[in-house]
Amino acid sequence: MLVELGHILLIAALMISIAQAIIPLIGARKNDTALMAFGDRAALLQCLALTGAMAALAASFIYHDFSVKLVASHSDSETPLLYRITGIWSNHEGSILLWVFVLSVYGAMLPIFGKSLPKTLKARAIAIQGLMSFGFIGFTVLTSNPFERLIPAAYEGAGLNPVLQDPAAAFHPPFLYLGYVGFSLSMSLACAALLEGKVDAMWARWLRPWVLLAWSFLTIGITLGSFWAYYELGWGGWWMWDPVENVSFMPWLAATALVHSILVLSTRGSLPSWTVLLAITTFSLSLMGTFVVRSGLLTSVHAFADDPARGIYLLMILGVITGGALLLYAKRAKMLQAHDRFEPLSKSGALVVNNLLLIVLTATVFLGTFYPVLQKGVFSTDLSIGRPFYNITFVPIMMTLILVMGIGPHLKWERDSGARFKSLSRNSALVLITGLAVGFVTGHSWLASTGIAVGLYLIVGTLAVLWSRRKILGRQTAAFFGFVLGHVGLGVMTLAITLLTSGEMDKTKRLGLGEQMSLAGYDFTLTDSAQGLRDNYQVTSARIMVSKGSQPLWPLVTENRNYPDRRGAQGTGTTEAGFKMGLKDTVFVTMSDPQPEGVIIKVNYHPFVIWIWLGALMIALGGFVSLADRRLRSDPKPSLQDASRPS
Amino acid sequence: MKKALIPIILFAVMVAGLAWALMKGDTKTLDFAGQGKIIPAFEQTELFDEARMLTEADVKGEISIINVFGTWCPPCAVEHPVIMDIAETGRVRVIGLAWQRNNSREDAVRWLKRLGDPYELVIFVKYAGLVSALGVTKAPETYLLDKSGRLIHRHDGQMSWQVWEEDFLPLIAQLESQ
Repeated sequence: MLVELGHILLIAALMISIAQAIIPLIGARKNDTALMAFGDRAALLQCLALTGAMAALAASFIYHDFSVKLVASHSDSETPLLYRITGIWSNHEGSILLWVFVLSVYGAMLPIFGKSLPKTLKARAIAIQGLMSFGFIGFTVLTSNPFERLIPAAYEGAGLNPVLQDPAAAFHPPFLYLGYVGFSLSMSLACAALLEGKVDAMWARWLRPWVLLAWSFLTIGITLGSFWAYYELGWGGWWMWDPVENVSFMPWLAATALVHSILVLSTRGSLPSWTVLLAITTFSLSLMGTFVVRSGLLTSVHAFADDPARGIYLLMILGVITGGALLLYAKRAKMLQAHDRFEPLSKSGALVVNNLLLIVLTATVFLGTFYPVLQKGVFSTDLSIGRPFYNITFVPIMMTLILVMGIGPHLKWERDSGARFKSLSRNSALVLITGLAVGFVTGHSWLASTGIAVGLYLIVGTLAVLWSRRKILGRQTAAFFGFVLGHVGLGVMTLAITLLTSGEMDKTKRLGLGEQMSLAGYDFTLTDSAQGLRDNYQVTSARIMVSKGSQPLWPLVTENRNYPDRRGAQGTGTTEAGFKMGLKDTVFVTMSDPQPEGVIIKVNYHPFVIWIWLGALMIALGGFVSLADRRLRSDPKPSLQDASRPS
Repeated sequence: MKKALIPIILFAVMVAGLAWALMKGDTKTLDFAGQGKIIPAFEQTELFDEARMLTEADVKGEISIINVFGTWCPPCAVEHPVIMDIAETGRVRVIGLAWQRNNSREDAVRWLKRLGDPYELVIFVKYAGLVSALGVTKAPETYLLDKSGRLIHRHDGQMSWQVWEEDFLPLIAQLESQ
């Protein structure tokens, strides 16, 4: 009964979204307050309905309702509570329900927080959110119903894929969705602003916190995915340029450009065209991501739905939403006037270069991801594009961007002097050369030394801005500290990636009880091996004592888990590597099943790997810190610049 | 207005391209190089027994699937339960092709020991060899062969039960009736 209620609520949300898409739009055109207010209520009601639908599905999972097809295929009676909850989105239907739910939550932010927006702008934005909801809820109801019953009900569920029974994997989708579905607001507000014919600082100021929020969540979501892949898959990879990783990375890159563009627009009034296009592009890339993962066009770890029919529907949604937005842009672009002039040699100029480089990076990843599709379609040949491609394209462009990031923040907003630029460049060159020297002296190759130099350069360059304002730190905005955190975080990541890639090592050996092997100055001794039963899996484990010299350091446990499937046959298994993650060194061990002669142990040495994710989290934290900025409140006091500007 | 039309034009081209790629039909059953041909002669070691040589004769005689996997390949781990299920049905002989590249034989042995071994035999290849001869470009891939070793079908990418039922079973039924 509960499930049917959930289904009804889903259909109700669909009906509401049609009304939400049409009525406020009419209201805005006619300037009819009542019709526009309808939009506010519709958005809130839609969110409520979908909350109910999510709750119904959640209850079915939590209470083991195996008469629901989804619950029967993605959980069983032994599945722990946490994974019964996260199992909701571990599949296509449940995750698309989560998608539309998050979409409706962000849509509800317009009536709740948008009181300072002009009524017509708000109504139009709500209408466009409604239109997007209509497309996706329609998709859910017509092709991906999560509430389908299984008749007769299953006696026992099929269980959750063990590879997903893990905290990081479990929370990775919600964070991703809070990220890239959040950019729906940038899309609907961009279209609404184009319809209004006005893209200005006030619009940017309202949108900015939502873009920052979504961007920060997306950063965390991607980081979680990378961290999970690293320790769960057990082979030490943290980024594979897998198509599905790439389609979450592209919106992130575009969103980063958007975050910076919107900063310029909200404080200086310039770059309106850029900002609108980036707002549209970011969400379109999110839509592309959703499309790609579920259409069967590209196969990867995440290929949820291998279904061309679903793919076509999603492509249509993408076409209508983005196509509509870009047509609107084509019509109204000439109305977007910048209110600010700036010289190329300025902070604003550097931000334009920043945007350009980020767009080139996005295009590069796009090319690498979709070119194989083209090859296959046109030439019927298989092509695999991986790390080598991105190493020669992405990496150098990223390095160039980092060079700009080191100097740009030092420049004055509108115009800076050639002399100052020369001195900044000289200092930069000094830092870079020092970095290179540090690299060589510590025994790194010239390639690794370049990475070290660039990473250090970014950190030093950013801290230099902090230093230059040391006497007036109290007067700095939250956004300033966000910038420092974010840029330093990227510098840390660059250093970590370089040091890891050039320093990683591994070794495999069969060990009997008490025997040892050595790697990177550590000794690994097998002290125990055992077998047993736990929760919903069988386990074989090995204990390894890591020591340095004669000093014992850490006992590690590595396991192989076997999750017997519903038929009681030998089921699926996962490896839980025994990790010791340190701030400097990370070692991890994996094992094969114990034999009388001994256990085959593989040890890996990864220096500084943890800093990749710590750096990424610093970037996300920078985004959250920026949100505290007083200038982003709903009713900001007009700044001096706005007051002197003609409206 | 001219410059502002560029984004929509680019977008339209891209969507058209994607739509065409989707429509072109089964993204999974595109003709592959060796389709319809008998599997080429090869000589590779068996994964678990280095001394044992496997040749094309070992994959003929029965309707079989050859599942190409590698320990460096995450989707292979994710699809593995499906291969286990397929082996359990007993409908076809399930042969593995461990394409290890820069990973070792030991890695593959361990991988199978913990994830489960559904294969009647496992062909071990480091680089090239049978993998090149078959025209394998990525993992996972699953080939369907008839009794005479003719390559009937290839599934590109992760196997799913749906693909097994919708793509493989009809072909297998056809082969069985011949």
